Amino acid sequence: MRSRYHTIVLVTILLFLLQSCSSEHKPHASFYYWKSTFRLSKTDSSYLAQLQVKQINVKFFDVDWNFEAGKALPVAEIRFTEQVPNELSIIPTIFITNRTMVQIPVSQVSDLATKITTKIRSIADSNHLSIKEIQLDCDWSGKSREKFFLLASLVKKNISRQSIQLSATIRLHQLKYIGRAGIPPVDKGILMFYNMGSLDGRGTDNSILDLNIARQYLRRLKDYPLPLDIALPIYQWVVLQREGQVINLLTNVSVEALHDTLHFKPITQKKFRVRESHYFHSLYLYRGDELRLEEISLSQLQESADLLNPIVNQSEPHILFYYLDEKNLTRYAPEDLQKVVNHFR
Amino acid sequence: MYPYQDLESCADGDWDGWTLSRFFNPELTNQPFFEPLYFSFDRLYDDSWEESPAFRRSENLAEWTTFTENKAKTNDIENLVYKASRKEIQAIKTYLSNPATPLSATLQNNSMVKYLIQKKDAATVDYLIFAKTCEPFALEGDDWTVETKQVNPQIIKLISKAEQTYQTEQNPFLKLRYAYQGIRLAHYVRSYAKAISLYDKLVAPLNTESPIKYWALGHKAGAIRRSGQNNALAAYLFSVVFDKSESKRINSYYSFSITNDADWQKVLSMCKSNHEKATLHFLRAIQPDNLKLEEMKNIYILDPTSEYLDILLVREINKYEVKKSMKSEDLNTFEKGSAGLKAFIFKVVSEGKNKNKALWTLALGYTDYLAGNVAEARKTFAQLPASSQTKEVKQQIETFELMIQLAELQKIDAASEERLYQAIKKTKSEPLQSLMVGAFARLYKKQGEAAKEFLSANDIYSLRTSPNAQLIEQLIAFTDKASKTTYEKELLAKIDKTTPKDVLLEMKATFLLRADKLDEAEQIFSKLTYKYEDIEGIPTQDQLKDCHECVEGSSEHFSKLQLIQQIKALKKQAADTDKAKALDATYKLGAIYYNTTYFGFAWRAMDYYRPYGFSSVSADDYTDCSRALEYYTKAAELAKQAGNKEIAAKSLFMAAKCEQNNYYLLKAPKNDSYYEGLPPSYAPVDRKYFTQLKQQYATTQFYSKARQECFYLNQFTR
Repeated sequence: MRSRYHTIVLVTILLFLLQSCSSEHKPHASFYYWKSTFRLSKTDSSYLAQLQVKQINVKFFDVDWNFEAGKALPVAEIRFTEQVPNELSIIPTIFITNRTMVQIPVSQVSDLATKITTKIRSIADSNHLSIKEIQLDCDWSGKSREKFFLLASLVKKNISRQSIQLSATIRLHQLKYIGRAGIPPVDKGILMFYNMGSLDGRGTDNSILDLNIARQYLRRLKDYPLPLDIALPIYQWVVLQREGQVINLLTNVSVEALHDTLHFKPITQKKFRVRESHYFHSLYLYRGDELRLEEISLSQLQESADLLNPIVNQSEPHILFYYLDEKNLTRYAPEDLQKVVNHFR
Repeated sequence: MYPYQDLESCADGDWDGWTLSRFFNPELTNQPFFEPLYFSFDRLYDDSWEESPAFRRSENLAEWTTFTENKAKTNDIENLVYKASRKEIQAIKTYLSNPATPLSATLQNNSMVKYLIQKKDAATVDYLIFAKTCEPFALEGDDWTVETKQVNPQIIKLISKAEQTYQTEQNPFLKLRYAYQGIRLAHYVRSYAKAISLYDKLVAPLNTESPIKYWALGHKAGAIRRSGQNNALAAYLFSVVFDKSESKRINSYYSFSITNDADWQKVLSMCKSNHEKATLHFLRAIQPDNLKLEEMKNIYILDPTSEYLDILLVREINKYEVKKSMKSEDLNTFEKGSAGLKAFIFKVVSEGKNKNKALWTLALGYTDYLAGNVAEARKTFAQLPASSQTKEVKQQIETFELMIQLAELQKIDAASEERLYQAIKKTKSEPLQSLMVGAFARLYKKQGEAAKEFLSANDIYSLRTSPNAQLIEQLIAFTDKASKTTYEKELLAKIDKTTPKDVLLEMKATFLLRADKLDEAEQIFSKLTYKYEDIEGIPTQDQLKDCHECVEGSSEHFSKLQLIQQIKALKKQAADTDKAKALDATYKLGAIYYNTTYFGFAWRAMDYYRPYGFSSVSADDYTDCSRALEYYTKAAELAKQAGNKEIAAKSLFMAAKCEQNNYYLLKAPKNDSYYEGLPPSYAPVDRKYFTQLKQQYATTQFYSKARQECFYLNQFTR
């Protein structure tokens, strides 16, 4: 009798544990690759291996509106200088500028959809890549929404015959104002959990990641009608301000470069003023310009994961770090990034 | 996903109204070919520079006109050189060798064709055939196709032919063009070394200043840059093309790129004159958001007579105007910076080296005006001698003088209003008229002339969507004013061109109707000659589910006057001793008062505009369901007393709708102003009438039907 009772208790506990386990998330680490030449460094490969990354989103090309030609044209097409490792799956990602979708006449959208899918196939075939998913990245607005959604539906139609899925990036404001922004006609989305604050630094210390701001946008995440993966930032940038206005963003600027006291005067630990006009990272800086460094700490990433975990709306989300680059990676140990991913369990 | 895409996506807006703030005329620079570089709102955000095909062709057409000894018309040249097909030009060649061959009337009537025939100029015709043959290939490649390593052999042949024919052709005009065709093709098929060597071998020795030389130079520069050989040289060459070829200015601006100090120094060292160096500074200056003043100072040191200074000056002032009119957030910063601009302008004027003294003097005065020093501004303008004043300068001075008068105005009466209005209207300047309207409006406000102040910035639509009884009375009084100025008549026409008073009275009566002041409203409506459109539908019609467009196209309609009369009659009937009649009238009154709110189909009886989404509803919209609620609850009680459970149930349901509407208006948490985000309430305190309906009439047919059709009732009563 007693042993039968114990069996029942044990089975009950086991069932309970199984139940609990099955309700946890099973997150997978991934990355965005955003450079125009595909070449994985040793560091890149090492991080991919340690984080057991099975797929990465690779930007194949941008689409921008060419005012002179009066049409949408591809730019910054990727070049594969080495073979993609067999164990790594590639998701071609196409960045489409909002102004493309604003400018393009409705009558040209179908042709653009065809051109995009044909070009993706061409690049994939030339590099022996098997594609299971394509992603469109466009920060559509009220003016471009209908045309972008039309484009997405036509791309989806083009690729559905090969059983290829279509995903789209979803920005925080598109999550919050879902009525106004609409839901793109795709199979899944990826929430871009960055670029939240005002670039001029008002109301935030960090326009890339500010959780106080982010919280205001997340109420609808759990109910969003598309399954959502999450993209987290591991990049840093320098915001250039001139006469009170944000002028540009400089990426790939090392902190050491800003400590060049000949050209820059530190105002705070992260703010610098230009001493003399000169070229810097392909931009011309004028005396008096201000540069503000913004970067993401590990603890901020962990806090982001803790904030998002309870409201992530699918059981096996991909957690993509934006973007794969040695300069970004070496600021975090692989095990630290793994911990961030594990925060989504 | 570029991090900085949010900058770009914020530039989604377009605003045509910015030109209303531009008073400083860029044409004062006397440089029409710099028109694409005039300041514009779009350029503030680095959007398009639009350039018409005509602009791009103008230099080439001018050369062809000279070539034909001015005997061919520009249109005809354009038709032949740019639009005619290869076949048509071949037909001219055939005609030249055999005049018996028929030639189309279009070609026969073309003055350039006539010239070529008269001159028996087979060589030029051969060239045009060659150009048409090259045309289909002279594209920068279809960027959508993945790059192939094979070059089309036809193109190689054409490049070769261009080179060979160049050698045998005697006419330098045609030699240059053959060279250009070859270089362009070589560039576009990515034979960069060939494009560069063709230029050096074929064009450079010609010693010409033809714009086609610079078109070819642009291709050489492009080839150098794309081959990655020498970015500094490429940048230098693009700057030369920018300077020398008006029609390639935009292309070369986009192509000019210097990214580091070393290259900048290299390019400077390549310059053969201060003017060339000034061009580099100009190209840097017109990059979006770059600091013009610093570059202007650099240009001034190099070449104080440079016309680039004029262009940059006008751009900076136009930018100042836009920021001021938009009350741009960085205006304070800009104004601090503009002190430096003013000091620089003063220096240029006093040193007298610049050729366009009038422009700079006007600019100096205008910066005083923009800073609010109108007296100083006037003094400066007075320094310009009449003899130096071209038509554009005179017009500019006249504009500034009127602007100063508007700025100095402390009060306005009929005489000053009429004088200024007529003077400004004569200029036909939209910005000036807009400025006048704003200046007058501020004074009307100061002087308590509410009607005129309102009409300065608003029209009948604004009044209809934001009812204001006092303002309507003031406007009505304004229509009765005995003697009106021209401007006052223009203001009233914004209400209505013929019967503004009646339109206002109709509005007054509508808002009285809304306030349930039926007798007053009836009195006005009955005397009006102006009739607002009838409302579709039957006002007492039941609508269990709200609908607003369901009566469109209905043959039934009623006027507001008829509605008032019906309400009055029903109210009388509602007090009848016959309970059945009283119940009927009471329920119908509930229906009328519901249907004429925002929520009903007859909302046009009480309002002129209905926001599309609930999230846009404001206090100006007629959403008050209290009268409807009052009558529905009364009807429920009367029906209950009469033992009419079905009507009682229906009345309570309609009362519940009123209750729900009030919940959303008053109590529901405001959630990003999106209706779909407002959660319904099932708390009994918010569902009093559903509770009564369930408790008392659950056995009625109406209840059963309502539960099927109404999701909220269904959920509440589960």
